[in-house]
Amino acid sequence: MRLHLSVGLLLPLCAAAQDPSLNRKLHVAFVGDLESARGADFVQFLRQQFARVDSVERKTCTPDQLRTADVVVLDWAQEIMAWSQDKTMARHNPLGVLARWDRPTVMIGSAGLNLAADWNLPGTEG
Amino acid sequence: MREHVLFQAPHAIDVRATVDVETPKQWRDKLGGAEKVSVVRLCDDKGPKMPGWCALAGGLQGPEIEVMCGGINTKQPTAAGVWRQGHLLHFGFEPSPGEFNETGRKLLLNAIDYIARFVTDRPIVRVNSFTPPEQMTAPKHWLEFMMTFAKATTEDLAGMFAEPWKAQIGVLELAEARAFIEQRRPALCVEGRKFLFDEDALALGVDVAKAGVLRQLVDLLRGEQQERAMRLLARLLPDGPGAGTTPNNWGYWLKPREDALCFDVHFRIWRLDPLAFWRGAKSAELLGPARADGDAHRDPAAAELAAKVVAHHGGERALDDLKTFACRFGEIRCCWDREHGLFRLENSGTIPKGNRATAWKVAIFDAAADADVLRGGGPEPKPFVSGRGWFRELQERLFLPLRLLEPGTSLRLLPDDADGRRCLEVRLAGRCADQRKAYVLHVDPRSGALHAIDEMPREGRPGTWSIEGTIQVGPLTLPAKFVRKTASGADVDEYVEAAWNPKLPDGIEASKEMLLGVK
Repeated sequence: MRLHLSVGLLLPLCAAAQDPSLNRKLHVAFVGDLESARGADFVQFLRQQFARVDSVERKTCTPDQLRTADVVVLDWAQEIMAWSQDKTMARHNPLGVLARWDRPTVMIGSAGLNLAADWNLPGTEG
Repeated sequence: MREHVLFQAPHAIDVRATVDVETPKQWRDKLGGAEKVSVVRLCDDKGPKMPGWCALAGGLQGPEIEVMCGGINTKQPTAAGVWRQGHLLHFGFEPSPGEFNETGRKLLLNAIDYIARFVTDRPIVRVNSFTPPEQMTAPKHWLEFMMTFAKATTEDLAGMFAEPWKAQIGVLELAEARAFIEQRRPALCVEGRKFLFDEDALALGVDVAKAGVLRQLVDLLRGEQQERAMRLLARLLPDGPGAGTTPNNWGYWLKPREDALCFDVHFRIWRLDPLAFWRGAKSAELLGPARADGDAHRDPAAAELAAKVVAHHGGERALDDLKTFACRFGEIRCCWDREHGLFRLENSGTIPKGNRATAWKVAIFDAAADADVLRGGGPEPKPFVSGRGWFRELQERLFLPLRLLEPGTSLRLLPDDADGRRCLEVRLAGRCADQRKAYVLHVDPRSGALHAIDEMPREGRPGTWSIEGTIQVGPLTLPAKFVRKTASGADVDEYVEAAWNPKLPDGIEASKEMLLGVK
């Protein structure tokens, strides 16, 4: 199910920027497409906010690259339709298998759908 | 959107700052035809083509699941946009930080902050997803939908059931078919991709989803319905002790777990809620933010003292760069491959003649999965040796002072001890940590050095370990010599030959041979 955020109204940007000193001093690992503008946007923003931010390329990511982070932020465009249509398609889950995934994780957008589908968890009904 | 800490901290979001937008047409019936709906805007004039993903709320049931907010979508007003299952936070909004407005960016930061404290919780409830479609579980939401959908047919309903129920439902009128299903709903079970009504549940007249049903079935094991009760228990508790278990042993198994079992609405079975079990809490009452570890609001004075301890022992982020670790205690060598989540022990000791103990050589523990890869000792009926206890001890002793500022750690300042040392109560988080154990650190107020650790177990008497030596491991200064007074003298545990990021030999993940050398 698509989730719409953007509405047709324009409101002035009046709130103050987020104060990094309010954040916990976390070691964050961002997993995404680092060469894209979107990936660069995430890394830049997170580095402004947190004590340490590692950036890891999603396509080659393995869980051992993330094991020391306090929180992993995963950005992963929707792939499950391709998986459904091509059962022989190789899947690469950057977080590995569920039983061994132990890091608190924020899944951006369709990343949650991909993970739920690959790990057989709720969240694919939408 | 619900009242939730996610909207409050660390960045306050004004959830009353809403704007009215056109109600999605798919929502209108459920919202009484309302033309406008109030939303908090997360984006202004920009956003990605794919705005995000939300999940139907009906499937999001389980003690480890909570829903914080929805979002404008094309299906249902109750669909979840931001929600959590265990240590996984679904942030369904797709924009990147630059595409969000200030509110959107704050929500993203709060989500990161919030999930950081879910160190121990894990997903409990499962489904079989639709990739590939033939593996998909009988879809609960689809059955519920068909039970009320105006255009549903008897065939739609019958097709979701296994035989003989499919045939029985298939010959009924729609209203009769719905009544037939409703009447038998307490016995509804899942087998593969189909629903069925469990014959034993029907005969016993029990509701498989109702709290207390497992106790009810265990009680029936002593009566005429023993066989039916046994079969149904085995179906409802696939991770239980098994169908051949005696009534007494079913009782023994259930007693300590009863409050920690939860119903999986997708597979329609009961599963253990490990967090509730470890904390000694009721699963049904351990919900939402209460499942987090650590302090939601850390006492600044406790945090200041903790920071001093951490600084003395190597620094706040020193552990970040620890990839591998090795040390020896007595005749046991161990190594921790932190990146791969593996802990290996090798014992070169021999049991003195006349002593009774379990002989073992190698144990391997998967710290990421919280599971034994290889146990020492055995074979049955001889006892086995797990690496879990040693791994826990390593965390509770050597690495304790460096874990104080982790998001899952709880801190509480206590009055100074009789020697004028500062006292800090600590509870660690993690699958390997004892969820009901606390430690009191006695800290030199000037240097931050540890002088003693009081262990406060959930049962039994507390004990005090004096710290009489440290080891330098790379940038870390770790407590290494622990002495505890006993009636007959003192116990001494000393960790030596510690190494910072050593190259580990090949095969540590599985080999049964001695790879780490002998004492």
